[in-house]
Amino acid sequence: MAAITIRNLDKAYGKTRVLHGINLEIADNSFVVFVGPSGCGKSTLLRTIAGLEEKERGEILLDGRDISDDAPVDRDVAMVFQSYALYPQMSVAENIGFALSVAKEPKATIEQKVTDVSKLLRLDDYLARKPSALSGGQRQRVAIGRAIVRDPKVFLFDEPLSNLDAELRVEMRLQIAQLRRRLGATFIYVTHDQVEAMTLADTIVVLRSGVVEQVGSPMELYHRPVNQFVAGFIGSPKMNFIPAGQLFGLDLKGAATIGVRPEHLLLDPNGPLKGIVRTVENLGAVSYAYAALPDETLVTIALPPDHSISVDQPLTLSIVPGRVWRGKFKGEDVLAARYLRSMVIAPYTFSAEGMILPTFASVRVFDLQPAAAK
Amino acid sequence: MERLFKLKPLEQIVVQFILLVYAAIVVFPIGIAILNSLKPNLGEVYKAPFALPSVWSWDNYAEAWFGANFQTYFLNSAIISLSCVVLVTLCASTTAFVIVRMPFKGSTFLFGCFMLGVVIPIRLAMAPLFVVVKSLRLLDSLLGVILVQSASMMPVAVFILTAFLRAVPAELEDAAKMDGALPFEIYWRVVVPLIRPALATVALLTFVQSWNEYFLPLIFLQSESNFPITLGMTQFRLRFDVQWHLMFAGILIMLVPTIIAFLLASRQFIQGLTQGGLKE
Repeated sequence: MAAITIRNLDKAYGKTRVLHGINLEIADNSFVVFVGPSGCGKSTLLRTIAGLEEKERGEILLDGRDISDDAPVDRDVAMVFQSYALYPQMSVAENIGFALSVAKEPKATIEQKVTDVSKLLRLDDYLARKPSALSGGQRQRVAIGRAIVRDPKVFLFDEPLSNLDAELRVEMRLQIAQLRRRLGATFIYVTHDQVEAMTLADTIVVLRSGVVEQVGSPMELYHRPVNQFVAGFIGSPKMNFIPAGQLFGLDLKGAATIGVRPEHLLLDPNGPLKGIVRTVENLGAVSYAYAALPDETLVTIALPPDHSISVDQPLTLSIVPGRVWRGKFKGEDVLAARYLRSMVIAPYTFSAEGMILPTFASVRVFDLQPAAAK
Repeated sequence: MERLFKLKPLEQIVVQFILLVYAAIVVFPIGIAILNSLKPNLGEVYKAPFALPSVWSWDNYAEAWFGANFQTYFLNSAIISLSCVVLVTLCASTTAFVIVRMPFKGSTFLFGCFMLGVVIPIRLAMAPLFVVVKSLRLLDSLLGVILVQSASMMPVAVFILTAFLRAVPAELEDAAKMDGALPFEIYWRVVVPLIRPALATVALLTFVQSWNEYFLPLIFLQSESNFPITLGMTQFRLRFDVQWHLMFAGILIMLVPTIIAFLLASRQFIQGLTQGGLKE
């Protein structure tokens, strides 16, 4: 068992408040990823769970036991750092066994555990080497080995792959996923990499300015973001935000914004959106066109591999029905709302004057295909 | 090493010439001392100070060593210098570790005081220092000199080591904390091996300074049996007066430990001066 409960956690550095009343439930044996832009407090939250930062208020419970005032070593958590943080003067074996030697375990036990871990991570040929004689991936594996050898209930990863090149990152990502299946422990992972978050996580926690914006499965966050920040943050390339007036070629000042993912914009001669292609990126399996709408809003469109779109070409676009995300609508956005309704058969009601009812003005996900989404 | 710029042949010659002249200026007096220390009598030193000795006489060294009681001076110097090295490296590195990694209310003030110590020469504080040492009943004892000399070296040592420690990645210490290491274990097992170049620099500076220190022992020591080699040289001059060939031999004996210390620590010393503890 290794379930973590965080209650009303606050943290400040001097007068700067970095975590605001964080509440989280992390289930046993789950893989939770904290994502968010730089400075959102994700690393601070992780370090507070680890015990490297002191909380100001609140509780951190591990299986019901309050660990928030315990020393890091007594919390039953282990951490893998972004820079690996291997002791340069020690060999791989000494690095992996350091925690055990600090705990004054018998030499034979240390050797046995180090051997087991090194086999698991395919490091057995490098035990005598110093970290400086290892590649980036090997160093990362040693750092993971140092965490595993303590047999903790919870593993904490602080952007562990960000120092690796793209190819190695993919490989290590797969290894971490495999490791997780083998170890059956709870993993908490911090990253700003979309792909890592989406591929590794059971649950993603999106943070902004020290506040949890949304918690959910990767697909839940992708399809049903609760606000524009999450909508824009999850997904790569990011969601397009289009002023609603653009749907009618109107410049509606202060009007609402709708969100459409690049793969949900279709090339359609009868579509309501008009734009001019500014750049085309051909990535092989998929291509992206960046087109400017009349108000110079740049939108990204996912294109099939066999497209014939070129730069400066005018485009007309429509939106896949049911695939519009919308934020707050105000009264003057009737036209946009009507268009959306016509497209997606919105499960919302309109007043006689065509004004949108208050329910419609609340922030809600516009995943409109299944009626159950209401 | 990557070259920043390449010299033209003529520039190369000029630069090398300047360096050679400088080296000659430095080496010349030492060469003269070596030559004259090997001359069999004072007459040769006076007659032809720059000529080679007629007979290479190594006895001067033995005579200076035994005849002038150099063993005692040498031993005293060794005790003082080595104790200072141990005290200063240990105290300065632990102080720097606490200032950099475990800051507390007043640690900046403490660091400021050490920096004042770098700026203000210890000789200005000689009178109160004398009173302190006297009231501790440490006058005319090696321990008194050791403590005063160590204290006088601490500011520079703390300055060097704090600069170095700030460059050691804090994540290493976080990792050690996660592994259950206590502050002293972190210092001893993780930090000390990483700041070895800086420690070597501090040890070398301390050794050379305390070995060559003349003024502090002169103030705090009275009995000849406690004299270090610098005061011993004065005694030596009193005893042998104008016996320059023996004097030169004595000076060279005094130089040997400093040279050995530098040779032993030179690689680490240069690393310490240039590298600044950069992580890999």
